[in-house]
Formats: sequence, structure tokens, C-alpha cells
Amino acid sequence: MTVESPGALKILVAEDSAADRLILQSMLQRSGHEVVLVEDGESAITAFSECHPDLVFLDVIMPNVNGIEAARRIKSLSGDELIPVIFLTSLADAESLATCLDAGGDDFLSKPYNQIVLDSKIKAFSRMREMHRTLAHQKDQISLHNKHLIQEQNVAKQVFDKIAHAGALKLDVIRYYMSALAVFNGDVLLAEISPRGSLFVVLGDFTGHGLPAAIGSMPLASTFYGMVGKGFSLADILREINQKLYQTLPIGLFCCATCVDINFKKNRIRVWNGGLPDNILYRHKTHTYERVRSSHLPLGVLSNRDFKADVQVLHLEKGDHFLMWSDGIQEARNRAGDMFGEDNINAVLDSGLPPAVIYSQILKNVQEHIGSTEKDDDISLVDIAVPDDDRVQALAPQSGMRNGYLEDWELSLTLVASSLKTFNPLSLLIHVISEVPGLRQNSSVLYTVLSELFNNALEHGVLGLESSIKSSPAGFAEYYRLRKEGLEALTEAFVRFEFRHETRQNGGMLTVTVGR
Amino acid sequence: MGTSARAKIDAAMMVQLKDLLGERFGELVLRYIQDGERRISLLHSAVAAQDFVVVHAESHGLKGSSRNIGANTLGNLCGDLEQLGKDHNAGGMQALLAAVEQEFAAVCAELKTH
Amino acid sequence: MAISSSLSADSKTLTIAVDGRFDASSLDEFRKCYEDVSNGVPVRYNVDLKNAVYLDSSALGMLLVLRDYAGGEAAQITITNCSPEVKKIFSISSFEQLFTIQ
Repeated sequence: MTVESPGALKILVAEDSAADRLILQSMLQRSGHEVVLVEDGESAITAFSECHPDLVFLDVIMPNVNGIEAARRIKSLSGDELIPVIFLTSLADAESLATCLDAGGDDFLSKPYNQIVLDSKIKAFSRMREMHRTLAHQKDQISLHNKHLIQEQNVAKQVFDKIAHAGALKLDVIRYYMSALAVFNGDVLLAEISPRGSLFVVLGDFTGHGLPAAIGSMPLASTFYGMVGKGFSLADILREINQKLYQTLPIGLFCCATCVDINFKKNRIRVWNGGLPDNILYRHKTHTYERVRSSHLPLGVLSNRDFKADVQVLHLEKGDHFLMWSDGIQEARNRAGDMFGEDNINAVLDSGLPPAVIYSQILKNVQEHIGSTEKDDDISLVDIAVPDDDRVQALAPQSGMRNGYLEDWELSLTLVASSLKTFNPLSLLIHVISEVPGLRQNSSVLYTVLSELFNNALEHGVLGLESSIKSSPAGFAEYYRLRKEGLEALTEAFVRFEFRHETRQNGGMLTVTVGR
Repeated sequence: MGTSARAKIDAAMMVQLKDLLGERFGELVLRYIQDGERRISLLHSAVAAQDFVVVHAESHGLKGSSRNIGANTLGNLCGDLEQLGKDHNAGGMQALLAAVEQEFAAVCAELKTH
Repeated sequence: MAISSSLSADSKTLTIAVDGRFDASSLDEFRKCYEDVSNGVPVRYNVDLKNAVYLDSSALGMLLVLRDYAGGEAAQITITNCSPEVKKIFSISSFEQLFTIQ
């Protein structure tokens, strides 16, 4: 029995000479190693599989399978694990040495054996094995981390896909191609039909790729779907998306985008392009095209104070096609590193082809250009057709769509003292009013009006405060001190809102009465 | 390193081996002798039959064992024989084997005195 | 070195020169150029793109971060030696509203 020491190894010795075996065994045991002894090559292979040694000593010339063959078999059995094989020989000629190394031999030990030489060789191999093991472990760890990362991204993608869902992209007037570099695409494409039957589409290209880009897509998608569904105008939607992105994204992360609002009944398209390559309106009658150039900073760069939501309005005709793409199309590189470029796109646009095939021609040419190389940007291409048939009908607003709308109604809300002390009713009221499509678009104006009416009723009517107090800065503070005290002391009071809404031929009439 | 002209075995090596093996030193001597006798017997028939592969293998084996116990003269003789086997050179093989056998007997005799 | 910077004699203008690709891989180097100015506080910045061969949206993002660092709306940043291709990128993204492009 030997005492297990930290450097103790299990060592297999295959040697046909009994005396040599005994000497080597004694030396190894003296250094604290566990020794397994065999007398020929065949037993060496069997013993290797059975006892899994850390190190193997093999005589070269042995009966039943010589050392060279045994080394070869042992190396193939050890697979990825590093199990050093040391030949017990003092082979003089280079040819024999080469044969041993070829078979997987790692070193040689010549006779007579020397304890110091033996120990230092074992130590060196131990260190090598340790390093090999550490590397293998790190490799496993990295691949495990990578696996986790992919799993997490897949879960996140499911969440992302639910928010940035296909919406109206399934409509057959829309054709699109999107490729992704990572699990997430830095490009985002959303489409939805408004309550009035307009088709809203946004193609966005976020700075960067993957997770950071996808994070920006979340507020973009939720705002877009939420506001299109409620009937907001393109300008309102753009402003809201810009504000959300400006507030939530770090500086330097933004979204180049084109947003369109297409009314197929009125045959007009509103386009806002901030930072995307020129959009193309390709004409059915003439096979010519008009460009809609980017005239704005991308979304999320400017605060809403400076943001401009002015749109370009174009007249559409049946059979026209509206095309938009991200810069990934121009920048798509072939194996030689050359970009697809502007000229190649213009060649297709100038080809005079029918509008319906422009999209597929551009896509085909880009894909042929890229070949089988890795794409170095997200490539997105979108084509919207102005249908020349009944497909427009499918886009008409459907009555009873979603939860329906408020039409003719009356509402009365009375807040008594206890509520007046703590509750601000404005959000609640705006929420109700926003259920009327026509009023929703004016909700910010209505908010201001209601806010003034409510504050007047509360401060002047209920609390009896005079506006004149506010005329000096000191008075301003005084006014709000009095307002606070008045509210705290309030016992018998109320403010009543009365709303009456009637729909009319071209809209509706909302009557608001606020009293106390 | 021999201290005596008659010594067939390196004395320092003997000291080291005794220290290493302790009570198993006798076993080492016995195994060396048995192994050597077996190899010499095999060498006799191989030389007679001019089986160079066996001549090479067995003289190689005896060379190693002999060096391991410090019998360097014997080791060198075995090395010469091994080379003849490797070169398929029958000339002088018989005489060299006789010298090996004689030296082996002397080594064994000396080992038994330890 | 792909990105280098130098301060004018009066310490008022920091010139940052970009050599080669100006993209996401330049992020740290670009930022260090203006954050690690030890001898003076520049009031003007000049981004020299004479030797820049390629510019992507990440580079635009970095310029916005520099603009924020240099005081946002009050920042004085000039982007010089722009090739026609680079000028086009700035034009598409309307960056001339935020930077002086030359």
C-alpha cells in the first residue's frame, strides 16, 4: 500500500523483463504512485481499459502486440483525454524514435533507470495533464455558457416575437424579406390596420445587432400596435415612438425608420423617412419611380421638442408598388468584400420591369451577390402593392372590430371631499374619452381643457382661492400653501363632471359640464 | 565506476538497488538470472537458425536488464549482438553469443555474492 | 493605431482622426480619445474622417455620444474631410442638423 499524495498517479507499466519491471515498480512506488504491472502489449491494452491509468510506460519490444501497436491502441482509447505514453527504451536510431512518436509516444526512458530522471519526467507530464484538464474544463464551461446564452436568447425571442408580432404582415399586399445575423434581428418590421382601414407599416433598423437592438424594438412595437389600433394619426404615433425611444434608449442607440400610412380608398400614402435609404414608389403605368428621401433624423435621437413628424404625401394608383429597405441591402458584401451598392439597385429600378417583379429582382440580385458568405448586416426588403382588385375590401374597417367604439353616451362623475383630497380624475376621464375614435386624436387638447375646468372648479369654486394671489413669485407659493390647507380642511364639497357625446354625420359632438 | 578490476557490476548501482529494493533485492537477483538464462537459451537456437528478429529482440532485452543492474560490460556485448541481429549480419554472431554467455555467467556469480 | 487624437496649441480644439473602418469595433478607442484628455478642456471637437474607409450606424451612434459628452445642443463638433460616400450617410440620417459636416 502506498499513501495517496497530491501528486500520486496511477501508472501502468508494460515490460516483459521481470527484473526491469521490479526496478521500475519499486522506483514508482517509492515516489508514491500506484503501479499496475503487465508483461506484454495485449495485457497492457486490457489493463488500460480496466484501470484507467494517468500515465503509461511501455517497453517497445514485447511479446503479443509490441509496444508500438499497444501505444497506438491506447492513444485511440484515451480519446480527448491526455494520457502520456512513455517508451521504456534507449533506441539509438532516429528511425525507431520516429516510429515511436508516430504511434503516439510522448517520451522515452532509457536504461539504466534513474530515480531523479524518472521523477522529473512524471512531474512534467503531470503538469501537462493538469493544464490539459484545465483547458478541457474551460472548453466545457464555455460551450455550456454558450448553450445557456442561446437558450436565454430563444426564450427572450419568444417574448419579443409576441410583442413584435406579425400584425397585418400576413396581408397579401405586403411582401418582405428579413434576415437575421443573430437570434435577434436589428431590423424590425411591423404592420397594422387602423380602425379607419388605413394600413400602417414601419420598417426600422436599430443601431447594432442582437439583444441591444431587439430591446429597442419592444417599445417601438408596443407603441405602434397600441396607437394604430386606437386610430391615432401617423404624426402622433411617430412622436410617441420617438419620445419612448429617446427616453429609454442610451445615447448612441437609435432607430432609422420609414413609417407609412396608406389609405387605399383615397389612394394616398403618407411617408415619414428618418435615416433609411430612399424609399421607392414604383409606378404601374409608366414603369418609372419616385424617391422618398430621408428628411429626418432617426427615431430616438431628438427630444420631442425638436422632433419633426412632418410627412410626405403621395398619390397612389392601382398597381403601384411602394418599396423600402434597410442599408443592409446596399452594404451586402460578396466573398471578395465588395458591397452590393447603390448602382446595382438603380440598375433594377431603371430596368423598366413591371412593378410587381422589382422586389423579387432586387432580392434575387442581392442574394446572388452575397453567395454563401456570412452576411454582415441585417437585410430587410419590403414591398407594398396597391391592389388593383377587391383586395382593398379586406382592408376596409370592420364594424365591431376589437371591442367596438363608444358612440352616443352620457357620463356623470361626482367627486366628494374625500376623493378631492387625493384623487386626480383626469387620466380616468381621458381614458374613457379615448374610446371615441374621433376624440382620441384630440386627447391632448381635451386633457388641457379638462384640466383647466377641473382646477378652476376645485381651486376657485370649492376652495375659494383668488387667482390674483399668484401674481408674484411669493404669492405663487402662498397660493399652493392655501390650496393644500384648504384641501386638508375640506369636509362638505363636490365637483361634478357631466359628459354627453353624440355622433353626427362627419364626426360627433362632446359636451362637457363641470360644476360644484 | 567499478572499484575492482574483477568487478563485472557497477558497485554504486548495486548500492542504489539494495537501497531501493530492500528485502526484495534477492528477488531481483533471482529474476534477472532466470530472465537472462531464458533469453540466452532463446539466443542459442536463434543464432543457429539465423533468426535475426529473435537475436535482435532477445539481445535487446538482455542489454536493458543488464544495464539496469549495472552490468555494463555485459550490456555492451548484448548491444553489439543486437546490432548484428538488426543488420542481419550472421558473421561473428556465434562468437559474440559465446562472449555474452561467458560474461553473463560471471555477472550471475558476482550477483550471488551480494 | 486606428484612432488618434491631438489637442490644439491653445487646448481649445481636440482633433480625433479615424483611420480605417469606423464601426462598432472602434467604440472603446473612440471614447477614450475624448474622455482621456488630461491637459485641458476642449471647447471644440473636430472629427477627421480623411482616412476613414467605412462608417456604419454604430459610428453615427458614437458621434451622438460624443455630442452628448461635449454638451449636447451646445456642442461644437465639426466632422471634416468627409468623402462623398460618408457625406451621403450623414445626409440620409440628417446628421447635418446636429454636426457641422465638411
